[in-house]
Amino acid sequence: MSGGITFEMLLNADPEVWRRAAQGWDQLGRRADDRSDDYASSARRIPDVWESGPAASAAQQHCDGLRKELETVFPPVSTIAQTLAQHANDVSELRTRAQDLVTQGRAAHVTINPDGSMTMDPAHANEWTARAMSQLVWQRDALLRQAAELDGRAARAIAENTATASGTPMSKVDRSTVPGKGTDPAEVKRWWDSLTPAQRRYVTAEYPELVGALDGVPVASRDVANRIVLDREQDALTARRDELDNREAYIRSMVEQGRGAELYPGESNKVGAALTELDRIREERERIDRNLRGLDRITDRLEDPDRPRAYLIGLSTADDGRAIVSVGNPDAADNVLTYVPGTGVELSKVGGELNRNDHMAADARVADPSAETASIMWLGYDAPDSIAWNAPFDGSAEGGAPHLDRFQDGLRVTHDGEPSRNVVLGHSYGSTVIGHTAQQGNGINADALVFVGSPGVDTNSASDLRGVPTSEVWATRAEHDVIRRVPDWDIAHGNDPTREDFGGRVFTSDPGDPDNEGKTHSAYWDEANLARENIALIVTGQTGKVS
Amino acid sequence: MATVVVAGPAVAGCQEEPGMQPTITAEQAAQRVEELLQETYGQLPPGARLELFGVAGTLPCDDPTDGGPAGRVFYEKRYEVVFPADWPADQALPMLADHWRRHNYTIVNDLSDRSDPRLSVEHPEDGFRVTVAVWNRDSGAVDIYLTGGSPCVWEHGTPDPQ
Repeated sequence: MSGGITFEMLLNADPEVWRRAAQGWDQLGRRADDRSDDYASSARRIPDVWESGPAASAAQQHCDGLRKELETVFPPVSTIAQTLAQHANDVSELRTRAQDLVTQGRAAHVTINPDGSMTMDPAHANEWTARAMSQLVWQRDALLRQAAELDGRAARAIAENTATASGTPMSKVDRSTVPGKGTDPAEVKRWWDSLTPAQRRYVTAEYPELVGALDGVPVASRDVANRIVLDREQDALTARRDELDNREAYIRSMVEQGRGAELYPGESNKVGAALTELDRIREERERIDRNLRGLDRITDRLEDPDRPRAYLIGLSTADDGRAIVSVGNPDAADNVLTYVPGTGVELSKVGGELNRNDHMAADARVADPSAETASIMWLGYDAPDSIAWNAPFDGSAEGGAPHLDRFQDGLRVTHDGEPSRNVVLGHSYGSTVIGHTAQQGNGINADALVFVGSPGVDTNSASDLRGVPTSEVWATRAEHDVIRRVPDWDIAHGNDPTREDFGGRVFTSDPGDPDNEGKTHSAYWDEANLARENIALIVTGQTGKVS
Repeated sequence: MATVVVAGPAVAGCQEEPGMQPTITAEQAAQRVEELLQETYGQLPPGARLELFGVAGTLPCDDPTDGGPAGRVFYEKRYEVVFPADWPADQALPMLADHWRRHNYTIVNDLSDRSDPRLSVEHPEDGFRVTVAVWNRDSGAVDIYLTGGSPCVWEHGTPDPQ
């Protein structure tokens, strides 16, 4: 259908059809993945019933083969789902612009007919109307060209990932050729571009933990890889939890039978050893449960059919856990917001941050429905547990800075078409991480920085922040935010960036509750808070309207 | 509805002193938000309809730094008011302002004289909020949104140790 898109088709396009098709492909991918898990657990049980012999080996091989085949289905199926969802967004945006054009025409006394042809109002047939009409014709044609281009791109992605009679081919790539962690994203992108589609599918399916974490790999492919990582982490943690439960039950049953001494033959204090192990089991299980809770929230968000498509750009369960989740594909968006949460956020509490991120994406759509905005929740660093104790003195900002720096560079190199407007927003201690990043090397790759309820950004002057125009360094602090209690003593993170001598641009947020300064610290995203609208205006580049 | 009103003071208590007081549940908050939005919609000139916009759901309304337990949420829902070309869009905000004034709603933010006017109010008894926002686009199109939000509540009504 490439090239054959008419104005009428745009006006009548129904993005829901594409969205539903994407959901169907997503379900197919999940089902294939579940089946693959089933085969893996069946294969593990074969030795229990059939210890050895040629038949046992053949059964094992057969199960492994089926599992492998199903595993390789996931990347292309998931890519098709992504493509269809992205196409739904594109169609929706183009339809809005087509409708806007009709409204614009009406104001200029030009009727744009459903087929795209235009007629002047005879009562206003003058030079001004003629000029307006030629401008509208130019806009209409540009819109149709863009529609044809997006349609062609989606068609190519689907064709590349559609199975032939021999399946979806993959070509082997040696693990050692995958760029290492910390490689410059531009170099990673060159490596990725040098791979054939069959090789890309191979590295995504075989080395998802490497591909998913590499800045410079296009977001769509990182998402596919990280969904595989997510599934594996959930399976591994659940299996480990079962193991711990079994071990605990065994210890308890041995103790109840009076055979506790047999558990620790080399130990002199056998009771102490049992108690220590039970404590260790309890602690590990609590950590697993916290991580699983976070992973479940991420899964819920990724699979939610009622929300815009989310992309999993990063995931790890090490330490307090890391997660990078985007609403919309930043590689295809006009505006990209990277939101860095503050203290106390860890994987287990990621649910609330994901919702906050969804709301910021929706706010941006309200502020500018003609543009596509992707909003990324970036928990790519180990956030301090509390602002009072850890935050002023620990090295989270230093630790997070190189990751955030590379991530922002990666967004630039994988972006399609015109560069997007990239905005990085930090709440609370997240703003310190941004400040620190912007003072390393060439600074941070962003068009604007936004500091919300900041304890300081590691400098007393906006002009020290590199990589971003000083006129686009924004800050807000509610009048009754508890963060104002952090003194400007130069011992913690630098002065409050809303101070006049800091040199940033201050925007309004609601004053908050004088009787609850703690709640005010997180009230910036409350319904009706002016900060939210201002953030949306900054993200969509309507800075003249910021109050 | 009766449950929600009775639970009102408990909700206010949660705002005053972060802690372990029971509140209405997130589900009840969602019901009340919907009720307020429908009531608001009922004040608009006839001929428009509501279309869900973005995500209806909960947001975190606390932070570990407030000394209170984490886990409280507030509920939010947004509708776009969809209307035909001849609908009197410029009357929407003044009509709602008048309705809210007559019913003693508290004004949270009044930006009704801006080029993109908006007005946020709070229900006098239970602290639920409604915002009407009018966007006059460069293209000449007018978009109107109604957003409702609850005060902070425990998801299941009682403190959740997690």
